[in-house]
Amino acid sequence: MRVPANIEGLYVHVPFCDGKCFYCAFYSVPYSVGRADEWIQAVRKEARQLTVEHGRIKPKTVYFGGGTPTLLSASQVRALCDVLREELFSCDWSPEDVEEWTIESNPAGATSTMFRQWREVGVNRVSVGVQSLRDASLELLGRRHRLIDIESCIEAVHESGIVNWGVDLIACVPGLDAAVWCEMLRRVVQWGPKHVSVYALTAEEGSVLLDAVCGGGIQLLDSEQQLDMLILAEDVLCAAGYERYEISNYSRPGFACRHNLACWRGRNYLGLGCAAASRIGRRRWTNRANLDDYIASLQAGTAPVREEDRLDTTLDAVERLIFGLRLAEGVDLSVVKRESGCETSVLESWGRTLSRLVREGLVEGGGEKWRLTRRGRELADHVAVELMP
Amino acid sequence: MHLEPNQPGTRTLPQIRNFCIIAHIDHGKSTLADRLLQLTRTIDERAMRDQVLDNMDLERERGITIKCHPVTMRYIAADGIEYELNLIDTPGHVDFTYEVSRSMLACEGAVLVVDAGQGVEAQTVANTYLAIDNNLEIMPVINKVDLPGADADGVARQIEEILSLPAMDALRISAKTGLGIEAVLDAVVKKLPPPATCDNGFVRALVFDSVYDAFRGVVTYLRVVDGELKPGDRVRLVNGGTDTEIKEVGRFRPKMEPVASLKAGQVGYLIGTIKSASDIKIGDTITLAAKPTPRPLPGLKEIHPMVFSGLYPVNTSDYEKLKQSMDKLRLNDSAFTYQPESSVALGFGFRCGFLGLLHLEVVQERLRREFDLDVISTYPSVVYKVHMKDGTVVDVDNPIHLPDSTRVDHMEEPIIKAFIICHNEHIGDILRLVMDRRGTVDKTETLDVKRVMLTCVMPLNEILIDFHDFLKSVSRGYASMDYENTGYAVSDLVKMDILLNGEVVDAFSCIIHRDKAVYRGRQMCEALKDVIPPHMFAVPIQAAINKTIIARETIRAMRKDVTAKCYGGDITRKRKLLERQKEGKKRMKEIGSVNVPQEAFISVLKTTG
Ligand SMILES: Nc1nc2c(ncn2[C@@H]2O[C@H](COP(=O)(O)OP(=O)(O)OP(=O)(O)O)[C@@H](O)[C@H]2O)c(=O)[nH]1
Ligand code: SF4
Ligand SMILES: [Mg+2]
Repeated sequence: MRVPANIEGLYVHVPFCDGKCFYCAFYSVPYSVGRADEWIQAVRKEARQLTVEHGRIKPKTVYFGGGTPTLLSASQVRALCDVLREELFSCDWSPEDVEEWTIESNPAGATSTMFRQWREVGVNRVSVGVQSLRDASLELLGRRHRLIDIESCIEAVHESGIVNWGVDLIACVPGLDAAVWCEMLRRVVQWGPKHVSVYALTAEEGSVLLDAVCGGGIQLLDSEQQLDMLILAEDVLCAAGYERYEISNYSRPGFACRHNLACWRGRNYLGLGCAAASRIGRRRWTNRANLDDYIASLQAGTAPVREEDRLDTTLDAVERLIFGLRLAEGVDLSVVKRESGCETSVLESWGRTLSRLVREGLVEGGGEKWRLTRRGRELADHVAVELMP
Repeated sequence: MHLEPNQPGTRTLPQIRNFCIIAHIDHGKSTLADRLLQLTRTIDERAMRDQVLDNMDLERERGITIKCHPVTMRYIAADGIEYELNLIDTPGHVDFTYEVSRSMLACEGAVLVVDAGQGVEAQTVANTYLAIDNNLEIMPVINKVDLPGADADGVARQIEEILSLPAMDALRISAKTGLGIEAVLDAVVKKLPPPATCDNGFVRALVFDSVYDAFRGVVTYLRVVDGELKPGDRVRLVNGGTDTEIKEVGRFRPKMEPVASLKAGQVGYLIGTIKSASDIKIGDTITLAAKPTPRPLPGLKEIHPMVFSGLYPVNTSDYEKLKQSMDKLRLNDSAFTYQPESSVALGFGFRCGFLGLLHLEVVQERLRREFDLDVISTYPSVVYKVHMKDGTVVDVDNPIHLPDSTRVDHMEEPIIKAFIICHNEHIGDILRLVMDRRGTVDKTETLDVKRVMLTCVMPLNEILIDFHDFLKSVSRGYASMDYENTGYAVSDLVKMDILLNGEVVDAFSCIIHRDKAVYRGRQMCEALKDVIPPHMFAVPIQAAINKTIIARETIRAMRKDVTAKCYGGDITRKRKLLERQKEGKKRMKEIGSVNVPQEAFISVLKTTG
């Protein structure tokens, strides 16, 4: 008999937006009521397929990302949750079983009523895509909101009674000097979010920004300037009592995003919706990143999977090490060994590199426990590459 | 190809013509060959493409011919008789002159193509002399008359004055548009001599090339002089001393096409049981093992490489594979030589000899493409003569082997005589360039109202790296150069080392004139600074003579290498990005504690300004 995998997380990718940000590398299409209804029906089919394969689940964390989940109408929200309850969650599931249920929200058009509706179905955490407080930067990023929208959105969150909320910020936007960036961070701190993510602006494949950068229209910050901005963020946020629990994530103590932590820790999670990624054991897959294809696959009764990756125990161990190191808590090699089931020789093979990285001041620890130093965090990819086979 | 006179039994083969197409680079040899192949319907229209004989990837990519390419055509001439025409397309670049010489072994005539816009250039002159030395009948044709700047009359005069060839009635054609092509074939039949043969019962054929085919083994290109060769014959390579049984003979159409036999006067190929590439020497005579000829054909003067460089596998475990690949490569590139050597920085590799820098690049490229091998080349060197205090003289082609300066009395470096053809208005700049390269201009000859030929004497190591690029740029592409070795001259040479992070990297060491060291050292440090990625620590790059630092740059320590980006649970994607970064690193060479990318070894050669 198959022992059902312990599936701790559920991610739902809501693939609708009201436009396209210039830097965006995520999959999204323009929202329409009809498309969203079709999509929900397809999600029902996918949920059914997953239940057949993995059994019903009782996730500890749920994350509605996107896209812009808050574009869904009140009835669509309910329909989506019905789908999950009817097709995927255990029969005895109740919203209280979910420790953390996040929804990503864009500031434009967000209202307290809307947040309350989400709360009713079980959502207890909101992540607001603030990105910048400067209208000029928001314009440059191709965002469709302005500071005034952000302020009313945050007010709406407060009014809705959701206390666990956070913001996403984009660092290293060209034309923004250090002083303005600092001021922006302080202002954000004053609003009192429990969580702040700071991502550096990068020109991703397929984005409008990449074309602009290649065409010479926009010049991104060089790596030294980027580092300065990221260090400023760390300084301001940590001084204000936030913990940098992951390279780009800060939180008030106890408010780290559990869903994301679980991903970095290599726990099992299912992803629903086009372009969503899943991991069960050493198998990992990503869904087709096209709404029509996604729907078509499900209508044909096949899994809407675009690519699948099967890790061997060594690669699993390597991933657990290099991604675990991105977390402030660091990694425990005995846990890595237990969870990946890798050979002892794999751990031994890291020994030399780890002690060199310690000498170079990038890693600290010893024996089983290792973490990045501050400088190590600035060079986390380098450390990862050194530790890869 | 010419026979000893007065041999009894000598007769001509009136229905065959063997000729090569020669010219300065880019004057349109391969394009003319295209038209001839089309006109004779040797190639199917569907299979036709530009410069179809340039079939190596590298040739197509660079748009130049590197190897000689034989092809057999049938042509019914104006007189109604069908002729067999064996054409060999040749390269124009000076590094590949050897390919031209060997092609000439198989021919009685040469079609000399001259670009009507460019006129007579340095390799036009050089290849004409080569043809004259080989007793070939030369037929000039003026190509590209379709160009707006074409000056066919002027070019005809140049051919007469500079090359002393009658040319006022030379054919005027456009290989591109097809204008006048039929006349070329008729003229080939009328003006170029047919081959001669001697029916005295002995078989003789001349080897003019050989290639290694992954499926078929060694393929020998040959021109039958006397008698006939067919499958089953046991033949002998006279100089190589090896015997082999013929498995297949055939023609180039232009793909290899087996035939029942190859007869006197014909050009084709032979596949035998020869396994080892080294058994075949270009210019060797093939004869029947049972009845060997007492008179082998005059061979080809062995060519000596001028430029030496170490080739090392990026991946040290590829050493054996590199050796085997070089064995095969040498089969169709006998001008390339190699022998094992080792380097502190790079481990085990080979000291290789080349005809020039383009030749080096081509070999490196072919190793990569045809054998999937990444190789690094060390700083190229010429052969220096080192006179020791004890009176002995040592040849040094590798700076590493330069004896300690306290034991050296003096050194000599190879000197060349360069012939530069250029427009009058560029003389000043070119004089300056030559002087800057420690050269002198010995003679200035007026070629016509616009152009002169400068005869210069220069050290070979000064033209090795980038002289040609500079020559082209100061003359806006109009100057051309040919050169020959003239011997050695005493020179104040020093060994310059490059240090990375305080350690000498022998692969970058070079022997250089004392006056040039500081300038060159600076250039090399700057070039390396641009291509070596930042490390955890600051990396000093220094140039030194006898441990005295003469130039220095520093690569600042890496501060940031992290992507703070949202992956939305897509860990696979993140890992793949890291894997790509890892791959890039693996392709670098770890020298001491410094990772040096392959480009570094090339970038030090490509300095400007
Ligand atoms: N306008 C014009 N261009 C020509 C003519 N013949 C050749 N070309 C062009 O000249 C360039 C060089 O032609 P090739 O046939 O490759 O010259 P090549 O002499 O074989 O060159 P190498 O083999 O590198 O020495 C190509 O771009 C041709 O298209 C011509 O009659 N008229
Ligand atoms: S809101 Fe997010 S998903 Fe939508 S376009 Fe902008 S970055 Fe892309
Ligand atoms: Mg050519």
